[in-house]
Amino acid sequence: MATDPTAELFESIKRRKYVPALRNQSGTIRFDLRHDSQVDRWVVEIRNGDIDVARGQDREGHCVVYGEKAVFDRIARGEENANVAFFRGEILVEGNFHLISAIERLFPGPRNAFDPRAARAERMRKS
Amino acid sequence: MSDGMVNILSGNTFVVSDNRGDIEAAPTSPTGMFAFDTRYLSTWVLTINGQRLQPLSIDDLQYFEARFFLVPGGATQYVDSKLSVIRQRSISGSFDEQVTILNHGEEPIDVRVRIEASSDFADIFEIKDVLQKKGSYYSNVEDGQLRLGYERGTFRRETVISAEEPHEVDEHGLGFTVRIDPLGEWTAHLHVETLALSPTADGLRRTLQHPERTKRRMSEDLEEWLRGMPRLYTDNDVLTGTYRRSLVDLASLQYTPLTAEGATVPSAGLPWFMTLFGRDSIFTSLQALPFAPQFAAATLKVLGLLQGTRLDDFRDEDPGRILHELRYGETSAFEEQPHSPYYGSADATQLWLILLDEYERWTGDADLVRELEPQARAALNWIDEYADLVGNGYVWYQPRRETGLENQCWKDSWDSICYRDGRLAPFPRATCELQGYVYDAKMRAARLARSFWQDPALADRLERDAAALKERFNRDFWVEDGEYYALGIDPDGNQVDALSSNMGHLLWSGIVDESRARKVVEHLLGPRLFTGWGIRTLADGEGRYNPIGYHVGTVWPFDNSFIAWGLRRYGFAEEAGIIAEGIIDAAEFFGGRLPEAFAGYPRSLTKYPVQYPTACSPQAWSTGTPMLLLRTMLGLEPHEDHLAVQPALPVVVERIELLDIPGRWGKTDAFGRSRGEGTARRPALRVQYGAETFISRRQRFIR
Repeated sequence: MATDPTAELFESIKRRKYVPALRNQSGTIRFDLRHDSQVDRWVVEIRNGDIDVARGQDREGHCVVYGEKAVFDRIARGEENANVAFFRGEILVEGNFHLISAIERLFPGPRNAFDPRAARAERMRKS
Repeated sequence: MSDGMVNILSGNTFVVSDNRGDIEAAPTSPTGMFAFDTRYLSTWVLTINGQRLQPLSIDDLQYFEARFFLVPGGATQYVDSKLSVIRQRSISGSFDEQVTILNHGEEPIDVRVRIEASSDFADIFEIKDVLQKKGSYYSNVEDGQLRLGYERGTFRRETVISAEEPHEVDEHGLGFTVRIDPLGEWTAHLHVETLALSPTADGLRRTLQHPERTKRRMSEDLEEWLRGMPRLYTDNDVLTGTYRRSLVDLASLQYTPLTAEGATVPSAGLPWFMTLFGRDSIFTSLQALPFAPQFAAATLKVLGLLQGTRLDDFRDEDPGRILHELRYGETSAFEEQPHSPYYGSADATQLWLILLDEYERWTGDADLVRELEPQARAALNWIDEYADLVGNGYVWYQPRRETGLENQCWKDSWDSICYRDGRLAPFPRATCELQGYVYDAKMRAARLARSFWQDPALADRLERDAAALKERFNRDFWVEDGEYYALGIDPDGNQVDALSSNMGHLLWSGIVDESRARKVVEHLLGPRLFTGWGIRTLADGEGRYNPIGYHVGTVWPFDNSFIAWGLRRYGFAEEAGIIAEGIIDAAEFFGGRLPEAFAGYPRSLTKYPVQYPTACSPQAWSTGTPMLLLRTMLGLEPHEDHLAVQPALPVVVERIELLDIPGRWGKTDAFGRSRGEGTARRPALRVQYGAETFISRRQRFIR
């Protein structure tokens, strides 16, 4: 089976189990992601920082996110910024907005970004 | 804001028009109706029988409501009209305008009323810097509504204009043909809705919406807000008026980010900065803490939620970094600008930690300190791991892309960081106040670690770090031949040696060696920096000094308020009073509304403070300035579970009573009176500081 970046993203979030920065957040976020005339559904549940992810559940969300799966594949690969996709209208968010903002912080950044720590180490090595 | 413009606003939705109520946006003028950083109306012109109107008077009813009294005809004509027009408008998410025409004559009249409307859907960044739009426009008429639209890929914005009364509509506006009886009147109700739309499988759906607040609800909110504020009684009428103006302006600048669960934070200023800024929201929350501590709580939470978590060159994001600016417009959406959000701020992270501690000291809200412990630890980690670009123990900044901010300190214009001789400092840059904030943030975080996080080892380490930083800083930044702190250092270890207001913030941070404080104060209140109204951003005589240079010579009220706080920290109460007095005196000339900045001309030269040409007004941290000055004049400091008061009033204020100050003590009052002693000395001091006009002004008061 071909790789599924979106599935890998949600699996990686699930593996985090607990995110300290979210310890005062609780709620359910449902992602409805369209592709090939069907909808993939992911449900992320945060309970005081504990995180669980389930696939395919038909559940109400405090926050529901709609979009093309292709957009989420790009987000999962670090090629697209989720906020920007939202501003552009490619992602629609309904309900509790702060929940998706909290989850968005767990998405990956661009690949090969400059790391100031590495640059500093290099500079110190030279001097 | 430019003269003659009229603003109404509600969060990030606002209307800027001329004094007739009309909008005719030129490419570079910030008039229009805006929401979510997009201009939704660039033309909004009312005519009666083909004639433009001229204003008789304008009522600024509330910050979200205005009324214009108008008559037909150009401004040069002699007014002899049989009819007059009242435009009353309000904003509460959407925009409503009532146009009322009064017939003063004995005969019925037939009038053609026309409102011309169009939109360029400019991103607020395109107004400062005009760009060719990449998308396409459309407009259509349906069910009596005019729909103006802009589309670029999936990005879609629409303005929908409707009216309750019978009307004609075409693609350029709405028209009414009416007969008005003798001594009668007629009213049209116009409604403008701003839409952001997202294409879904089920068609277009609305996105980017704030919960709508009704006008009535907004009035009630404002009254409740004003009732909840500490009451000020003083003999100084300017201070009374300035305080009142500040309370209303701060209410108007409240902004509910989508992520804030309904709580409001201070946005930065009208018209350019109606959005969430890290630095501005934090400084304003600090200023307003004794008055509106709820701002601090909301600001800490929102900025904590959006704290950086990854490395991103375009956004200058690092793990633990607190954001600089968030924008929703087209340039953000298509990554032509990095504000989604942008993290290029080298001080917001330290300031966030400082606010967290100061907030707890005032309110006793230990729960929030515990809740935000992970964010606080990440912020501390950012300081040590990501901000030290050179590896010598200081916070440095350098934008990683051309779209990033060159200067990531509060003086964020391109030419602000310079040597005495005017040369600009190379990158990366380390300005002095950034290091002061680190010192303060670590000392404060040590207290939090010990008292709330049960981590005495961290507390010890932070205090050791801070002490080492203070020692290193006092060695590396002290300019021996001038006896002041350099504006910064460069990566070669040289001092960026201009004499600037930045070192005033060092007093606030506590990083200044006690033995050097007096020298610093002499510079700050000496003739090169002090104008008589306030402290200049850059000293007269420096290479780049310009009294109307944005960060190289103007006076910023907010800057002065933090310096005054620092002066009190080091025991220079009288000098703090001189700053407070100068800024309060200046406020009188701005009708109690301090602008973002005013010119750095000497007070003796101009006699009045000269407004900086394009300064934002109201601007949040200028609005917060009178509040922090009240704090410094009264010497308010939370101490355990009570509020310590150590008043030191300047000569122009004999009495201050501030009642119902909220805090961990519940509500309490503070009183201050001038002690009288030393008054004889004060005029001499003023003359020494180049501000002899105080004396003549005093005489005017006495008369």
